[in-house]
Amino acid sequence: MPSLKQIRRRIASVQSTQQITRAMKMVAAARLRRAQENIVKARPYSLKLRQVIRDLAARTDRSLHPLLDMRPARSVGIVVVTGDRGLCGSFNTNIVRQAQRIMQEEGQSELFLITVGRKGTEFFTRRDARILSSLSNFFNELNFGHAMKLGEIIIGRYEQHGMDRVYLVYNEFKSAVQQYVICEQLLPIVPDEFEVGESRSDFIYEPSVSQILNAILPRYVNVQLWRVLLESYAAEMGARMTAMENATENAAELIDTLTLHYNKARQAAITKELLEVVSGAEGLK
Amino acid sequence: MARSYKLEVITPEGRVYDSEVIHLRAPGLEGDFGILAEHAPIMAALRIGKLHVDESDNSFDFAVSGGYLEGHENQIVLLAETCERKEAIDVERAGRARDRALKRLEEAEGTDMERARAALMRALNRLRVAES
Repeated sequence: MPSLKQIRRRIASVQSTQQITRAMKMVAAARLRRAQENIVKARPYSLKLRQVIRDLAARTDRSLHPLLDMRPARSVGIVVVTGDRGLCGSFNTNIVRQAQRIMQEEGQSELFLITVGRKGTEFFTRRDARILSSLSNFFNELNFGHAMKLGEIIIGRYEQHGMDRVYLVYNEFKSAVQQYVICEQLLPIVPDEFEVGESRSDFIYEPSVSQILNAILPRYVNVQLWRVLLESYAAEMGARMTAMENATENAAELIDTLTLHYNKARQAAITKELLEVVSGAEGLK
Repeated sequence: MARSYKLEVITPEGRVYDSEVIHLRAPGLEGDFGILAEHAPIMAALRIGKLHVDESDNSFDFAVSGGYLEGHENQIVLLAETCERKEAIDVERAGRARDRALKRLEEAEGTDMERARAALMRALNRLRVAES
């Protein structure tokens, strides 16, 4: 049986841990709200872009645009999006596991990783995977510039035939308590995403359909990446919120049990002392 | 009284402009062009440059990092990755970006070169618009 002092110290320690987990939960909740607002803000831009590409792609030769052109996949790039920090349940491990699965499936091609987020970068660096480029420690001040930077790296490599296909592995934000691991193709841009729209031939194209497409396609890739970064950030915050809420509850439970122990031990000590006093008095008679 | 039309400027980080305008001058891929009310339907790709907008009693300049413009029936939508009003440009930051890009241009090769060049163009454009 631990002494009263030991139990008291234990309770204090659990209480301070609980304070930390509670604070982390609140911070995650606030950031989650901001990330969700950004997702909503990005929507009109990507919807419009999507619609334009759909209209234009139908009237040009797809193979003229490298970002639409399907070529045999000799080398494959995987963009692995994790978080910068832990303490968010299985958020990071799920992603890493899925990425490894894809690496196995695509084993016959040359593989390159592009890691986003410190956790994934550390994991794959330790395992000596071929990391083409990595971007981490930026999620707290996430802005569109990060998506552009990532896009430039990926598109540059892709256009020089350094990668023939690029996949994205990330957590999709479903709700604060649910995240789905998603794996989707980023490049070449999947054609059936763009069902042929109604033809609008009365437009002036400045300078030409194909040049407009060339200007827009990389931007579409950037905004896809932006969406993925926001989704992943929101999902991370959701996961952390849930994990920290559970931790706070567990701490409360632990404090209850410890307090019970403490009270029992205190009572036992008092009873023992009383007995000693009484039996001492008896002995004096 | 000149006739007006509706202009919306949308970026991935939200809608940055939404108002009735009389005239705009946009940096097209092959040269600047202007749009007045009742323009024929148009789709245009934009380069990095300055967007000038005239409202009935006011006018604004924006630094645009390239993009796309579409207009029909007196509704113009402009999509750009970044679009900042002249007054909102952080000159110091753009200056730092320019210096960084110049340094990278000296050292880099291949894709890095392309990226550095694009970054340099964006920084110079911001500075140019801010000083105009």
